[in-house]
Amino acid sequence: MTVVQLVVNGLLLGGVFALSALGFNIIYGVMRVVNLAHGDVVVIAAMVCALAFGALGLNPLVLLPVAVAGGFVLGAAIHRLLLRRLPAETASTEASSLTLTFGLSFFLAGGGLALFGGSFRSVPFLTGAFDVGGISIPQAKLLAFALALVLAAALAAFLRFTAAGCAIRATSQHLEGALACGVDIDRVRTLSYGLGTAVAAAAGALMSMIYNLNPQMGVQFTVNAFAVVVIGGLGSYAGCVLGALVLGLANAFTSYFVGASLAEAAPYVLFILVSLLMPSGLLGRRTA
Amino acid sequence: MPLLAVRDLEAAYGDFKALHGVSFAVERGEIVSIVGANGAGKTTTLKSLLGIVHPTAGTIELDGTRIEGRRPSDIVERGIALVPEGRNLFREMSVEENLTMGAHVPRARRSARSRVAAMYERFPILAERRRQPAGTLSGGQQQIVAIARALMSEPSIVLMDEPSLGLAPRITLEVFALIRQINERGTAVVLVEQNVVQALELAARAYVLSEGKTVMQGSAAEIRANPEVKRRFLGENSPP
Repeated sequence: MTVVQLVVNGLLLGGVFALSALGFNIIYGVMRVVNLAHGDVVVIAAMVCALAFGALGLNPLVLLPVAVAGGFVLGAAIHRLLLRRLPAETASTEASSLTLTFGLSFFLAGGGLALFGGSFRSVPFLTGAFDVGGISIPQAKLLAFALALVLAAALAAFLRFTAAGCAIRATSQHLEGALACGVDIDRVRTLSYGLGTAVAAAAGALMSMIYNLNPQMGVQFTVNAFAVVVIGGLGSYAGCVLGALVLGLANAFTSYFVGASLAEAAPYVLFILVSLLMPSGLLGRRTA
Repeated sequence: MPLLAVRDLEAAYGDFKALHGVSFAVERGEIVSIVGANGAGKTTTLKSLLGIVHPTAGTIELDGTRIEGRRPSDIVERGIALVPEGRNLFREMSVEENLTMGAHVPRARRSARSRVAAMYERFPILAERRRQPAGTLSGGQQQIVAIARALMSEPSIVLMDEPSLGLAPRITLEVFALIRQINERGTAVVLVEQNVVQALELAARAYVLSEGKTVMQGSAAEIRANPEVKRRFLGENSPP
């Protein structure tokens, strides 16, 4: 029974990890930018939600679309005002974007600390649990998982069935091919960064129902998302979901059998193992 | 007025200057071949025409309008399409999605469905493979997808970069027949091709590039008869 309980816990957590990592993956796929500020957006969104819930009593279901919209505007602005101004078509673009998002991460973490203080916050919404044949399913985790699935499905539908979504996928698969088709790459990049940040903010809104967070915990979520993307395979959206479920399960089992503090090491260990044994990830592109 | 007029085009990759003065013109509905050794600047010229590489000097006129320095999205919208070297397909997207991407520019997007249907009629093999990821097709089929994708925007001029690269001789002949067919429908073609003999058979006129410059021009027959071209590109020795 314990194993089933751990599997349920791991899968519920993995669903929310998947949403967060999908945002990271879109940005990497289209722009080849390893967004080191990703986790800080997750945490800031969680802080805003916790504050809005505490001060105004706003339901997380109301806060979620606000987080998505706010995240999109923030991401699009970061791209237009900062990333877009990096020198293009030079060998150092990836390195300079890494430095820029590293700085942005510190800025967001510092700004979050100034605005929200260092105390831990969460959204105590649906604190009860369902009992299904002896398995306890926390209501908040179930809701967060379900909402993450809905958002991931909406994102997948957007990428598959809209012209803008197809342009994002095409650009991530072959930049020059997309240029040859007349795709406005600058616009696609702004859209992708906005979308990736919106998804990170949505993940933050959902995380606030599960975790107690403070503004300095962003790096943990960046590492989680990065590990998920590497485990699943860089550029693969299906791999991202699979990688997140693997990480969620690893987290649940390590917490139970080894200890909660060591569970934080799970992403690093999996990251190293996958890098050594399956360098292109579980479902990654096999081509160089 | 030519459909496309390129004058004294220069382009660079960082500090490396790849084009030092390329000039050529393409009339409506003709095939022009660009010949040159590896590194002569052929691919860079085509990329400059489409705005993928930004020219540092010179002019490009399409139908009398200057287009140098414009973005690829704008240039494709105005009627130039590229079949890139190596095809550059979206390997994990289906054949149909690849074709639809060819009609991504606003001018073509509204009628994308009917254009895809027209391509299926023209290339039945694509209809058979419509749901298949493009990366899983054979080399020849991938080349047909790349050509059909370029035609989706109904361009007035198609730039073809090494369309026979990596294809078996029989498939190469089919691709060349396809290029002729496209041209017979009124689309001008700029053909960059390693297979110089066949390229010159297909083209009305040709230009020779060397070290990023246009060094020779003339009818395809004149270029084919030139001793220097014979020696360097056709593998024939000049008579003693």
